Amino acid sequence: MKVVLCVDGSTSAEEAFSWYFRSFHTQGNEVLAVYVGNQPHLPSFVFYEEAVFPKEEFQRAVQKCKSKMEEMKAKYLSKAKAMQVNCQFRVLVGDGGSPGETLASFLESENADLVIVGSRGMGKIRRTVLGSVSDFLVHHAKVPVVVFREE
Amino acid sequence: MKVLIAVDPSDIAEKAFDWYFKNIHKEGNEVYVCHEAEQPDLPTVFFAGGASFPAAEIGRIMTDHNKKKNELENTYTMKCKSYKIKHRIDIETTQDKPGVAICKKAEKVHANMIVMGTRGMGAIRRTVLGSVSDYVLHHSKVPVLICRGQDQ
Repeated sequence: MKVVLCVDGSTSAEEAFSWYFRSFHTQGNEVLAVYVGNQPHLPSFVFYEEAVFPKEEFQRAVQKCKSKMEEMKAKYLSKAKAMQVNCQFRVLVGDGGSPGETLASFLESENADLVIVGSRGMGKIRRTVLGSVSDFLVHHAKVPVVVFREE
Repeated sequence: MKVLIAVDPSDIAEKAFDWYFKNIHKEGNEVYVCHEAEQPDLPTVFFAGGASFPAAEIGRIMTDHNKKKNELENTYTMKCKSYKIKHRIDIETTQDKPGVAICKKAEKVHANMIVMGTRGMGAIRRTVLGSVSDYVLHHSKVPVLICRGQDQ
């Protein structure tokens, strides 16, 4: 069975990852840990009389996103190693859609059998019980969804 | 891991149950099947010029209700036996809404995960997620597996 584990920088995602391998995983499952990268916030610029193209800022923004992706990859691959399990890590870049949409189309293109997502991730609004990504996937994914909650 | 599987008489529940056993179940998982039936609406009695107590009607409603519960229990007992798993089945009538009752049950039996289908017996088929699954998803304190059928 092909299992997609949605991860982000939150501790909820880390716990979901550990929980999956501790309690859920069956030998033979192919596991993909997937991180949806943020689009870099590129500064907009306005042409004043002598505006300078903010090349350095652009490069910094892009570099920041890249390092975040590398950080995620390193974190999850080392977790997998520590738990002695086999897991691939993929980074997805949304094409303008929300992370939920990007994940949903990834699930289809990969023919995943199951997706595991935390109930909330990095979102600032802590009052909502179900974050936007888990909410989207529950309603739109074509495969079974596990919404993980830390106990 | 202790798994609570919330079922009802629908096909979707059966498919969710089967899918769990074919793909997720592990040796050592304890399985608890539950159905939280809502207390059926009994006719209210009001005395208007010598109305008689609708005992027969109430009797019929309760018999019907219990019959459905027994059928459900038999279906799932047989399924559990055919999968040869250690299990417990609890088909109950509750005063609470089913979603609330399921969450309470999960806490009571210390379930580590809840498994359920996307929709059940509800008449409104346009919704992607039925009211009970929606409630449990938002209020459960443990992970919830929502089993969507392949054709949905």
